[in-house]
Amino acid sequence: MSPASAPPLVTRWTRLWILTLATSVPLTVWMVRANWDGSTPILHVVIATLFFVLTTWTALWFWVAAAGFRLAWRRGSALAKAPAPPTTKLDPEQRTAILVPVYNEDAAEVFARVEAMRQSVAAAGAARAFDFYILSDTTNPDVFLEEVWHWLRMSRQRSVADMGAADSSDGADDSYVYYRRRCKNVRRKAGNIQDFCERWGAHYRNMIILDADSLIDGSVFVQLAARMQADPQLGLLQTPTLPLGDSSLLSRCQQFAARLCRPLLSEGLDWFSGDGGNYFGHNAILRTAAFTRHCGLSDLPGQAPLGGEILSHDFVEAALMRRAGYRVRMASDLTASYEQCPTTLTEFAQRDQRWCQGNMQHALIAAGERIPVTSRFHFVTGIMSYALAPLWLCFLLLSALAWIVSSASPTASLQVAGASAPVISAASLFAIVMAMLVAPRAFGTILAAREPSGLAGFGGMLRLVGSLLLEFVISVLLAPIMMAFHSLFVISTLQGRSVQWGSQNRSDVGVPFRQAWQNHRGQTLAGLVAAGVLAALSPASLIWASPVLVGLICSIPIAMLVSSARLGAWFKRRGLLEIPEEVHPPAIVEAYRRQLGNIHALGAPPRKEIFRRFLESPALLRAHIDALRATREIASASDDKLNQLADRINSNQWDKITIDEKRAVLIDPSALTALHEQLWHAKTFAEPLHI
Amino acid sequence: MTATEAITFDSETTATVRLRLADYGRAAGLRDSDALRFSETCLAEALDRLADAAVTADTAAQLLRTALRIASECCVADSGAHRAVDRAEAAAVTRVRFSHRGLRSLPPAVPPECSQPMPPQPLGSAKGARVPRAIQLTSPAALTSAAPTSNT
Repeated sequence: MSPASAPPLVTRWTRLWILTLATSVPLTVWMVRANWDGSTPILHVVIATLFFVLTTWTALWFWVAAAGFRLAWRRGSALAKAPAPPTTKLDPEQRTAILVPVYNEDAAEVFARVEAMRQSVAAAGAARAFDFYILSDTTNPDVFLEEVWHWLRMSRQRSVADMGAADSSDGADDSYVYYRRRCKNVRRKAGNIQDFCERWGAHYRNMIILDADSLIDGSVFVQLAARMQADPQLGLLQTPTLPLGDSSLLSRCQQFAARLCRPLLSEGLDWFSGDGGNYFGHNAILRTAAFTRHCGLSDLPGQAPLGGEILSHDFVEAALMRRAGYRVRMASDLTASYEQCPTTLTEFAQRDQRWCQGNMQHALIAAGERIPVTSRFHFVTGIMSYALAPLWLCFLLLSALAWIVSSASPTASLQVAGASAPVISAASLFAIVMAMLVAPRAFGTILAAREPSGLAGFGGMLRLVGSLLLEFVISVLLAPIMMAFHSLFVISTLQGRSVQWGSQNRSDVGVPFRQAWQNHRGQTLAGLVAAGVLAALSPASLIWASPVLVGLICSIPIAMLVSSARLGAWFKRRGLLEIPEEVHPPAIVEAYRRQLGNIHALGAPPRKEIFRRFLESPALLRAHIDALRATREIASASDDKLNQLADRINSNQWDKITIDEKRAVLIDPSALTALHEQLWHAKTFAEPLHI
Repeated sequence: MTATEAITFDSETTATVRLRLADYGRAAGLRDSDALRFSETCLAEALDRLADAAVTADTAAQLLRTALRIASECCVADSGAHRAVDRAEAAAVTRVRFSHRGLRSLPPAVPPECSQPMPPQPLGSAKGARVPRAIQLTSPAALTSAAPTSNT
């Protein structure tokens, strides 16, 4: 259904909630009738309430996916067809900045992505309409020197390439690639973007915000800019991102499930949200002036973690953009938009911990004044993604308690004697809820099976079914582990324990036993205790509890196995958990791999030597000082720090130079130049350094 | 000090300095021929600067230090105030290499009087939210017309 022919937003929302409640209310009544024995009425009321909340949420997403399925079925494929190139030419005055915020990331990968996207934009014939900004908040001095090294390498490659191209001597076919590092990462990513908006935002009509792991085809950049140009009321346009992770078993599961279900969920949610869409923090275009004027974040009342600085800024910025009267939409048809996903269960949980705290903060904002209804819904959705875990945990514990109480009651023997009816009823209920949970996967499978090319992308029908079963089993095993993690995150956030932010490690190192033991021993113990209690008091209930108990008890080996790159590679060789983008890699993905291969072939300085290389090399030091001058935070290093540094260099103890000493000198161009000259002088005359 | 009393350097000293400067030029990314020209220019500039300087115990070290200072002014500091930059084509090469259109450090920031601050927006209804000032919303049409380039 085209947006023009779609019913009004209110009608769509009313339909969604009617369908949702028409599903969850009868199921709750059914559950109460099947379990009510009159022995513990309060307990049963609490259980019924929890069941209603959990089922309502499950039903809501089932109907969102069903709406997406309906739209895709009418169109004939899961993914919207690639849009035709925009008919309107991009106005050279309406330029767009592509922002790549980085924070202690793998510099080689970041710059390989930027170079791939820059070339893709040039291939789309729109290089002059876009500039790239690598906005570094990196705190590790060795990592930011690596960033400068890669930036300089790109510069030299472009120089050589352009010297060989007669028609590009003025760089007319090239986007600028700017690099800026902040010495203090005030307000993290939101502050990084704010700094850009205030200093260079006025040069650009739009900005496309990426993550360090984002990868977008040049044609999508052009489409995004063209749509912003065509609709002045459009404030934010989000692309649906597809996580690509072909390494560990966990990342393969994520990419498979996302490829199968996310297009439907995104499209369904877009249909229900209309102009009140959401923003996921990256892979989206924003109207710069509107963002600058209306989306500045204030601190929440109180202290962290619930108050203070807003961590998950994206939802809030979408709400503010919407509140200012601009449209916030999802571009469901611009599918060549990718990101990476965590490879290990530890990284996955760490990311969820950050998101959990950020989303819990939204409770204060969701109840705020003049927040649009759809934005409140998005806030609640984000909160519920984590709040559901403790609710589910309570439901399980109370259900087990009710079972035990019921088994111990004088009428228990009678119930057991005629137990087949309640058991069948409970099994039916369980089957219906599970059906709603797996429905998005089923919808995706049906759409894939509808067209031969779609099926081939998943490795054929046999492999698709095998992948579905494998992903389902892993999801079932991981569900109780993530429930335990999420419950812990929610409780620790409510207790006022703040989240420590760190760089996400996307390397394929897996989870060693020691780390798995540290992270999952509590879950294993909880599973064993629960199993022991149930076995002693109500052995029959063990069958019902087994899906949860197995996941908890085996959480250590599960964490190690799903995080294993070797196991991921094993499944990859057999074509399991395969997605179309793996069988036929998109051009931008291939370009990125090619760039990364080139960088690795070239060889970057080892991290432990990079500080020395920068001090010695005029070219590298020049690039660093250039980048440094562009910041407003040049400072003189203290004499103590410089003397310590000179002492270590004089005694050839480069590996003993501390991060603090490096940080101090790397923001002081005068000290750097003096050290540089003396190092060169010392090559001829062995004199000690004096700063 | 008159011209006849100026410091003089033996050929061995200048050769050592010349070699070191050529190494420096190559490390700065110059081709061999450019590095040699760069070396000559920096050495000439250093000799000029030392012509009026006081004689020290270690004149060779003094010459190298001065020459390296000039070289680093060209290649690292890019101070632009020294005469060597104007005289050395080789030094100019280094400037061109680093200021290529394709990649630059950063464009000039919007001047402070034209920059657009990002005011914090009121959020939530709880008392005590730290918001400097409330934003008066206007109609979407007004926002659109004012939005893109208004710096006032």
